[in-house]
Amino acid sequence: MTRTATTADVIVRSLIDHGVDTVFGLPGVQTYPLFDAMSRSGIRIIGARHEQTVAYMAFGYAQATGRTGVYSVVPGPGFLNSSAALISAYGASAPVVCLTGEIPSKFIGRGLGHLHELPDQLATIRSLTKWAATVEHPGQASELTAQAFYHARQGRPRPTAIAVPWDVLAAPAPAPAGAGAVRPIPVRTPELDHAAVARAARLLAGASNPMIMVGGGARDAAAQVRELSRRLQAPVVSFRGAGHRRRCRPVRLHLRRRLPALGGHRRAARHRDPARACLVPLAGPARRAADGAHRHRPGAGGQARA
Amino acid sequence: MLIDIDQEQAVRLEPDVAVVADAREAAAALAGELDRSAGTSAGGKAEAGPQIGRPDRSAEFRALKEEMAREVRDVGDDLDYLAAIRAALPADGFFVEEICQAGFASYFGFDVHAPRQFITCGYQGTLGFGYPTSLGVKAAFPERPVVSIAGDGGFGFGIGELAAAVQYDLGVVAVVFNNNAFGNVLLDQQRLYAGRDVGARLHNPDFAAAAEAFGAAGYCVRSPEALEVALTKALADRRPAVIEVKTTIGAAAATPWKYLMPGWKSQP
Repeated sequence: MTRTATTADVIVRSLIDHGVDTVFGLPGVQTYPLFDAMSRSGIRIIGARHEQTVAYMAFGYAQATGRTGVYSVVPGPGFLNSSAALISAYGASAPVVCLTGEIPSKFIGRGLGHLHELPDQLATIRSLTKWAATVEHPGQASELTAQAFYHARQGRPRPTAIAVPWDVLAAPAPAPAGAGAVRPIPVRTPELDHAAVARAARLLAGASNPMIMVGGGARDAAAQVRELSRRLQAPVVSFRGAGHRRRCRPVRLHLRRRLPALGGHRRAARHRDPARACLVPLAGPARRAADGAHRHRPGAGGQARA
Repeated sequence: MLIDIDQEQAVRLEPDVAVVADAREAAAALAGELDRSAGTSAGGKAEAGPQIGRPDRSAEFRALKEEMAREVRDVGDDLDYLAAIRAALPADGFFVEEICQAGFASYFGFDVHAPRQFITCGYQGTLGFGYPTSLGVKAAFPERPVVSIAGDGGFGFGIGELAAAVQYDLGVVAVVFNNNAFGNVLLDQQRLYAGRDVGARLHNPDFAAAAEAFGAAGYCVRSPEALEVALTKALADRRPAVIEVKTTIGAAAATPWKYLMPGWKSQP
């Protein structure tokens, strides 16, 4: 028996093209075609008893591997149940893609009380993600799936989502999986501003007491951080266990696993000459650092800068 | 100065110099630029040594680190429990923190050997994230040990997922510090409201028995030494497991918050 390819098949083909080996998911009536397509694809499905769990699993997968974590839940309450995990992934700059459903196309926005209807699901999802879209017809599925993976990794990694209405997910797809599929979109890194690097180097060369604070964005830069710390004879500190210490010989200083905002820097710096401590935050102490920079900005020294 | 992939961070943090770039590329470029400028000022010696003329400060930093390790000792038992976990957890193992007293202490009191091995909920401080998140870590790395810590309150958010751990053979070892309370809240309330507390005390199951009812292994310990023994065994068994650590609320001589939040004592 031959099957007609559906929107769900197109999405699953895209998952495979993006190297997805595992989807954490809790199936429901709106997402049956997606789960059926995944089960035929060889993708490993890991389930749970609550939507929050599958989203947290994707978050843990992403944080541990550096790859994109993928989860799937039903729309409305199912999506909302996953929201604490989604916003944690947002805060921790973890690349996570949420695949969810949506009520049937012709019911969207009409307030008829369809199963799992939210007043404005896309607006709700967008308030918790970096990028989100509703797949309005099968022809968008490949493009929007690729966009979801692209935005999850481009620049600062963060969660994204696509929502597929019940009818669209099961609809025959005009471009069968394979032909016409949108390939993964390569992420770009900004062009290095050599003049800014030179300015920074001049500042640091004259700094008597530099310190390097690493954030989540430096997790893949341990070797480069080590080299920098050796040249500057600068200690390396972090929030919440960045784990560069062993790789930062000979300096190896890890004052505190997690320096709360820049206040932690202040605490650390206080032990030296606070007015001369210089800060080199590397790759994004997360937003808390920004909050902290203002909340804890010391009145009397402490956050001197390189 | 700031190196960040996110242009917006340069606006938020107002550094003197921002380099918007991949951390690897920018850090390497910065090191190269320091070498070049050192080479120029030192008379063109291109082969920069490891210190570009800066004296070796390793001993100074080591002493400072030891001094700070002594300073935080007053946090007490939680650091001993964390040391027991570190001793039992192999170097390639993952540690998943959680919102609990030991979790707060882990932010400065747990040795991390490599990036990505300390799994965190970040600034959200999402109570209950730990155990479910650890299952995703284990799914990604089934051959590497994963320890998830939690208090009794936070573990309660996801205790039902012991079923998923058994069903999918995700051999995470959960260490549950049980003080029968949302302990941080309870201590805050008592401190701020003349000793009163409300809504923060918890009734709990026998965690070891509950784990066994799900088909996981269950342990109960009362000391750091016993935790190290139980955790070593649980990790060797490679099965899903729960180790309950019986603790007493407020037993620590000092709160970890004094090391996490400058000005903590002056909080209302």
